Amino acid sequence: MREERISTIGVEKEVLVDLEEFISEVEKMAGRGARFVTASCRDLGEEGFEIIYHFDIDHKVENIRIKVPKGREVPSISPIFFPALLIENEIKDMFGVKFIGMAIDFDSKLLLHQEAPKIPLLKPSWDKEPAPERKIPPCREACPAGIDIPGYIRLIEEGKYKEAVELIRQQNPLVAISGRVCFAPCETKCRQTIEQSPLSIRLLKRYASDKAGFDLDKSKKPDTGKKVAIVGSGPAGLSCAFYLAKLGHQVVIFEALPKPGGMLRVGIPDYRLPQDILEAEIKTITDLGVEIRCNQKVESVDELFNQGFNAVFLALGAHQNVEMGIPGEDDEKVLNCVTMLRRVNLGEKVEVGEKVGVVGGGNSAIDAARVALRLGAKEVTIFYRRTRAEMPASPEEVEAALEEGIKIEFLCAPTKIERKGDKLAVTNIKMKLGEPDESGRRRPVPIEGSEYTVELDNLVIAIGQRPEVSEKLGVNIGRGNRIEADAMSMKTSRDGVFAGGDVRTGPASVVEAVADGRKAAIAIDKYLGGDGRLYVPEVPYPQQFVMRRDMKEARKQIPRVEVKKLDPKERVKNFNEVELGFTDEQSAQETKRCWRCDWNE
Amino acid sequence: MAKTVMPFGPQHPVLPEPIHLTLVLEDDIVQEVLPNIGYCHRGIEKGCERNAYWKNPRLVEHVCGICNFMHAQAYCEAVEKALEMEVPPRAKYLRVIWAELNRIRSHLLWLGLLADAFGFESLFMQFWRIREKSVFLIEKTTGNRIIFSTCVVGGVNKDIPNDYLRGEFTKVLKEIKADVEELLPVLLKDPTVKARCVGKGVLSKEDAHKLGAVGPTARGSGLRQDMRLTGHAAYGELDFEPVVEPDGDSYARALVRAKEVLQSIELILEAIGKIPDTEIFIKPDHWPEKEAFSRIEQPRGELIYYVKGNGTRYLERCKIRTPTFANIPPLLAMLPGCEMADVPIITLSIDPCIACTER
Amino acid sequence: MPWMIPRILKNLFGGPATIRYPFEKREPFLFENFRGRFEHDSEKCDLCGDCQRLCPSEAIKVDEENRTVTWDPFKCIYCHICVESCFHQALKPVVEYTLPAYVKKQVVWQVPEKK
Repeated sequence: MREERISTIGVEKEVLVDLEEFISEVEKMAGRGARFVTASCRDLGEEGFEIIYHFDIDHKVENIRIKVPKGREVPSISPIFFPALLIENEIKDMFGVKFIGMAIDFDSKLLLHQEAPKIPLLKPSWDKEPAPERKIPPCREACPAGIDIPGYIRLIEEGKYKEAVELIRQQNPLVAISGRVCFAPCETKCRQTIEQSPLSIRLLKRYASDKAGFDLDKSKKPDTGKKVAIVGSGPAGLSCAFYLAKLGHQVVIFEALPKPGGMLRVGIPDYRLPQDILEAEIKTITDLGVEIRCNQKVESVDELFNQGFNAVFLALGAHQNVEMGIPGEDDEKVLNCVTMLRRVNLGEKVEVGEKVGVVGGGNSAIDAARVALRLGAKEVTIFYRRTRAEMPASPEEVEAALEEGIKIEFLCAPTKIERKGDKLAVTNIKMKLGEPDESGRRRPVPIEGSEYTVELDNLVIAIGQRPEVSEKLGVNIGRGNRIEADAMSMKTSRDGVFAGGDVRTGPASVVEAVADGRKAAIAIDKYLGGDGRLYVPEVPYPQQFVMRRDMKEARKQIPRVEVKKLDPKERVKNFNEVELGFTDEQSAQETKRCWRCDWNE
Repeated sequence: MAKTVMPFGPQHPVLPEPIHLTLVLEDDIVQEVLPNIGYCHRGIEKGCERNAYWKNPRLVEHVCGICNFMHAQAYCEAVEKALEMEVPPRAKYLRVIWAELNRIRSHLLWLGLLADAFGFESLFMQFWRIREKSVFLIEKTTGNRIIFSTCVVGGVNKDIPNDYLRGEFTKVLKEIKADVEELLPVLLKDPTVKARCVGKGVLSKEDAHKLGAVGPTARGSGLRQDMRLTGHAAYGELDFEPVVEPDGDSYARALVRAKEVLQSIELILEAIGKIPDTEIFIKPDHWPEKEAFSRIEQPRGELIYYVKGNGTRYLERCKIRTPTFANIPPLLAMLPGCEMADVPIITLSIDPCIACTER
Repeated sequence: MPWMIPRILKNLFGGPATIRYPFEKREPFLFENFRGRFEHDSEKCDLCGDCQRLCPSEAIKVDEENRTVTWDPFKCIYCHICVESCFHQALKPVVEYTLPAYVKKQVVWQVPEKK
């Protein structure tokens, strides 16, 4: 059998022959005046050896290839080409191939010493170390939802916005919302923080979502016939509904408020998350066949099982304001932060006076202060009992509040509220920092005799939230009014009932609730008889081969791009969105800065 | 008639690296030779399969110290053919410049060793004094005197600025040329040297072709054979004609190497005049999947790399065929018939680099 | 032999071609491209392990729990792939001729905790 082909680059002609016709082929080569160059041997394991003989005719190379089963002898070509004897002796010593008719047989004295062991020297090529694992970059490790961040940044750089959004939706379905409100733990772990500022990952996600629009993939598996009830339409509920609907289950969401969205609707003001973006994002989930029933409060789990549902997911959220417990708190001019934000976002009218005070240091306190400014207050002060370094609010929010003219008084807290005519007289006491408490922050200790009084029109209490659950639900309630559930599978004490989000962990963030919803969807699918593998579209992006030392563009010291915001004096008059997002040039510059820590060379 | 069996090597003052030849002598005339190699085997071909393919130029350079840039260049050219990618033009010219510098350094080393083999030590020191100037150039442009470490898959990783090339580089090259031209008649016209070299170790033209001689060993016997004629890196654009001598003895081989030094200086000066201004590196964008074959002209002959990739970051097989390995059968044909005192000179005249042979 | 005479006269009156190191050091010996040993800047390192993955001879190793970087100067082949590819530029080459040593010792750098 003789076959001519070229599979080696750099070679003029190649011939594959059987062992019987091998010698005649070599004699033809000698007749044309060729020069023997060398022979390469490779161990194929079960199939034997493959030997390639290379010849040179007038500066061009031609090959003859043979396959030798193990144990078979090969006729030597050294009677025809004398220089081949050295390489055949070397192949004999290294691989153990037998040759017959060699011109000089060194009998293993060429390469090996007389006392060397008689085993083949060159082991087969599959005896390799395992390939190193692809490294998980620190940004992806820090994200509670585990989004593939360098992957979508690469897709944005190539201009494939829809594919980038689909890649994000494999782990987090609320893309446009996260691009505006996420507190971005990924940016704190970005490796560029040592010399420069971290990459603006959140704003790039928002840019991709703005460019891709909301007309996304609607494919799902065929109907399984199972029905799942989800209580609460916050981020945890919406994410669980998205993944379950893609797997083919029938999902119904029960929402107690008049409009869906949970804390995204009634906890985050419009200047951070406009309501039309929220509506569009919820519509991408209802397009999959999910039904949202508003104005329906669920009292206990049994009534859902009686209606024919096979499993229940509780995502009630944390909507009850924590009280301070000081005298005078129930006055009508003392406002509850959660109620105030909810009424403003649902469109009701809320009146505030000219001088407003806010107690608290988290994101909801800053939100309440900025909303009060937009409702007509002239002077807003925030009272926080520790210092700025311990404030749990994100630094960008605090900066934006200070730009708008809000004052922050540190190391003070109110002890008593009294009514004086139309105004409130609030007695504050100064604090100093003492020993650290269980959360690691230093406990504030009141200084004796340092009370002072402040006159305010309204006082907003915004020191925290708590879930609002009762025993009638039918599941175990733990410390701090939270439902007890397993952290990985979201299972509660009752079979078929799962719980996740703020109601399980206490007040946390949007992305953690989304991660909980996804884990619950996997567990619910397994409970209903499926295999727990989510049905999300594949996004193949090419493995970019980065030679680390040659990423000269990314290593230049380019400062972080500053996103444009509205002017502070103008923006307090209305609820328009403050952050304007990236332009095309800004996004192109920012994507080049990424160091591609998930390298793959 | 009594036969004596005499070992030549592994340690001998004239050999830079160990090789063992068993000589069968009868009355001071060599009758048979049996080689015995394997003193320097390090298993580099197997080591190439355990590293990712882009780390291998650093490993392959350590096959031989005197001709290390050519090994890295041959490996990179083989892998670039398997990846089917083109290297930018400026990288090709820079590779030519460094390759010719390597050739100058290696030939000057050999000329010194030849003088030392006769006992002519002052000439040996003078040749190595000239070699210091070429080593100075290599250190200034790459960072180290012996191991270059600049060739990578996809181009080169260091650049030489153009004004340096036209300034100090050209000046030092011209100094080397003047010095070599002054010293060559001392070696090549001396009657003692001629008495020891002319007519010893004769290899006829048919024998050279049949036994597969490469490099100056073949060109000293009248064969016009040089891998730079295939036009691989930038040699296709340079005006180049190999140096060929018809005699076939040790003197002809020494003459070929001496003229090649001067020819290399001319090639570098021509390349400096023609070098373009582009980038020097292109990132490869996939793993090698095919087989490829590359041939380079080393100072000692023809170097071959056969590379086979299998779609992962590791190579399936990397096979190296060095020139000294191909020059051993001609040596086995040259030695019978000469006297015992001629054996070191004839062995030295094929320029043995045993570290290359053993890899 | 007459061809050697000009060279002999130059050598007689020209001075020696060697330099008496260590009393005299050649002026342009230390270039910026020089590939010798290097130093580690602990403020800039973040223990990513890139240098460990790129080293062809496994001479530099990173230990994340103890926060140390270990370099073996006797296994190193001084190719400077790690120096060129560190993103924070925490490895800097030292332009200095290194002397031989009596004892084979590894060099350990400690990276302090970062906020």
